[in-house]
Amino acid sequence: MTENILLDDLANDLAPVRPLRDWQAVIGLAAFGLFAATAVGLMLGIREDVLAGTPHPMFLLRTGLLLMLGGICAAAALAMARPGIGRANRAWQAAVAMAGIVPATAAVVAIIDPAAAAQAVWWSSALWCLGVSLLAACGFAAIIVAQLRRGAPVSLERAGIVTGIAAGSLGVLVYSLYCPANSVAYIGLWYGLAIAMSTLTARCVVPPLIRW
Amino acid sequence: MAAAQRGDRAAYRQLLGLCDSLLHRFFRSRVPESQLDDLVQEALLSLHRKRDSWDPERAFLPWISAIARYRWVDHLRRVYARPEAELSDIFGVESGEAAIIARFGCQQMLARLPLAQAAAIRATRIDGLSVAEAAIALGQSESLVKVNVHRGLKRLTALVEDDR
Repeated sequence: MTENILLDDLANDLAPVRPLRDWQAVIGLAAFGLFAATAVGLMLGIREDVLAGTPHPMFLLRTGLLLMLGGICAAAALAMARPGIGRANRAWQAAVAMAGIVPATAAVVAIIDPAAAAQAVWWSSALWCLGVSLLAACGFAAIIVAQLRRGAPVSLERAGIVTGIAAGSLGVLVYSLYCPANSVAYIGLWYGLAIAMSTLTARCVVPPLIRW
Repeated sequence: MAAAQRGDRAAYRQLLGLCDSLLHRFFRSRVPESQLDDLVQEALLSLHRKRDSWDPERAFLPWISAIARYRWVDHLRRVYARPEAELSDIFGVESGEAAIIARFGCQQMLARLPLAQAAAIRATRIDGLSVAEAAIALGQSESLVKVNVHRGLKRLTALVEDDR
């Protein structure tokens, strides 16, 4: 048995703690999202159809998908800060599968009409898309990682992957307020690439940051 | 634990005593005796440092089980077992605790690995064989033993929160 002195020391060292809750991180994510959206609006502008109150159906569709993917993955990542056998959250995998319909559709479109797809894909704003999305993703990821560091994640690599998908999706969501593209080929390629890059980066970077 | 989160030292001391006993019995069959106390202390310190990550609306046992599994897998990654150790029999545990300890479920975790990976981990990280000795005992090449240990530990990490 462990020496009583250690147990006594731990007990004497005890201070009241508040159970870790997700809401602080959720508020942080919402506040950063608002800040990033404002910055994009001021520096790049907001889509005219959105400002006019008549958003294009593709804008509504992608906003819904990105919100769903980012929200579900962020919730799953934050839940990993409070471990427990049998508590593994699998909803994010279903969300990824559903969102994967977009790049899959883009691939089919590119096969059916390669010329039109190529024209849509090589839009001049593509690098802005990647840059702004990934920059915003860094902010979202920092908030999730801070929460994971406070908690006790036990699946570090999975936490890194889910953090990357959540941050990438929310980052792309911010950029999409400006993004004038409505082509599924463009969205499937560049949005998908931004989320994939965010995921790969987080998979490598996050685990060492949250190891305890 | 809920009382401990509110700062009740007496309740916390009692809880630590119970967890100390549970963790000793749990880890006894999974690490050599020489490493047992260190691993239990690490788990108790983890419990102490991360006590705010327990949700009072949920059961305590799944939480401490996840902490124990995490520390065990982390320990396997870091420490090579030494051959002098004899492992105790898990079935020597008193009846009430045996059921609780079974819920920690590391045997199930190992059982979910491919046989070659589980055998390589058991040989090198629990039974205390060197890579060369394990290679002979298991009929694998030394490099295959290393690969199996690496892949097995990676897979174990992903299984920490699984309840199957």
